Amino acid sequence: MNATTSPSAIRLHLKLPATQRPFRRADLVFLGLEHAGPSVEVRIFFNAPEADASTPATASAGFAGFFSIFGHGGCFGDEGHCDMPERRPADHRPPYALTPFNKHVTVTEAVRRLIADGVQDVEVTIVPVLHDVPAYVPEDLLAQPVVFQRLSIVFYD
Amino acid sequence: MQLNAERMAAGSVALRKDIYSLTPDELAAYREAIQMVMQRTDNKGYNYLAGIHGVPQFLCVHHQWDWLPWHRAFLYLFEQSLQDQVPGVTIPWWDWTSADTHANGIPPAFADATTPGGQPNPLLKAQIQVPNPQPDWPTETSRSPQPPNSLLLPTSDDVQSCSSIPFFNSDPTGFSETFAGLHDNVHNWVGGEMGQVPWASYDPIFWSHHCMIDRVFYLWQIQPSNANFVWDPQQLSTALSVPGLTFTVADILDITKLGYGYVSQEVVAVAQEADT
Repeated sequence: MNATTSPSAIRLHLKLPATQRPFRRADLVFLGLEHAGPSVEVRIFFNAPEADASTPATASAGFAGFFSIFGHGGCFGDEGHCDMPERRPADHRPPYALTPFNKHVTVTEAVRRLIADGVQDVEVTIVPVLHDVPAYVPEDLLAQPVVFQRLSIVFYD
Repeated sequence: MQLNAERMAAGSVALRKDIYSLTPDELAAYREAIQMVMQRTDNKGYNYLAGIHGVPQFLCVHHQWDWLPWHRAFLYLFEQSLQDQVPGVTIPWWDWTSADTHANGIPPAFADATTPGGQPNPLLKAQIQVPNPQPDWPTETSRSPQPPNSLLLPTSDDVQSCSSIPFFNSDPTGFSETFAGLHDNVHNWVGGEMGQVPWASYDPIFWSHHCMIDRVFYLWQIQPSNANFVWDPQQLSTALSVPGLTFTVADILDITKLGYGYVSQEVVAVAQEADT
């Protein structure tokens, strides 16, 4: 693959609190984000369900923030090398390298705009953008490059 | 790097500098050291050292609290191998927040096809030789950088925002994991093998990217507001899994004990000609 491509976006719904307490910062939190797949830029839009890789990263287009995943791009060992083994009690090796992690993306300004507009229902559109993926990254990993367990929003006072 | 050799002989630390500010002689010495390490096939050779991070040893640490200490130890091992070849050589850092990079992309020191002497530039790419390679695995590194105005290329404001976080890793909002996000973005901005964890360390620009990472970690450590930062004893005693080293986290926190320091610039005096 020698170009920028955008696999299918992920769309999730969040409902902001009916009574919003003052906050200093708001973060979208991706729990259990996987990084075994391809490296990918991830752009996040609020209430812009049609957003894709060509949508400008501007407030007026609903852009809320971005991050990227520095991925492993597949398994480069023998068969089973990247399988996550169940931890034995006496296994004192360092943590498994592909352990999913939690990612915070600060979206304070975008949330403030929604609140100012009286918006409570938020459609979060997560747009994966793949750039020049090397040919050795397995094709089957490219269709869904952003995998996580749960998305939430947290407010800090 | 002659000055570094003199410094080290006199008991001082070697200085790491900005790739943009190296003198022609310093850049030539760094390239010579890289070239010599690339020619070795033993455990002081480029492929062995790069293979610690990714294929085939896979020992790199990411998105865990000790990713910065681990990479500090890893760069130390690499720099020692360089200094075995060319005394006084240090890894230069690449400031990807600089106006130069944001205007022109990857620095010419890494992007030029040849050296001023007309030889292939060893900082452009590296051969990849691993045990039992599969037919579709890369045999040399390449890059496909995004435009300088890409979201992925961090700004100095981004780094400043990270560096102002007063706690290291209490949760994903700490300095360590927040800064990991900028680190990831630069890998992905460079693209090619740099954008793939198993192959990234084979690209010669990897060392200077991580030198910048280590420098920001160092600058975070010495901030006056962090002067009273106390590391958890269990963290301090954590072993860093880098072959050939026996470091714990406590061993790598003071970079002067590792024999290096960072300077933003150096101006060397020259002798004035005597009045006639």
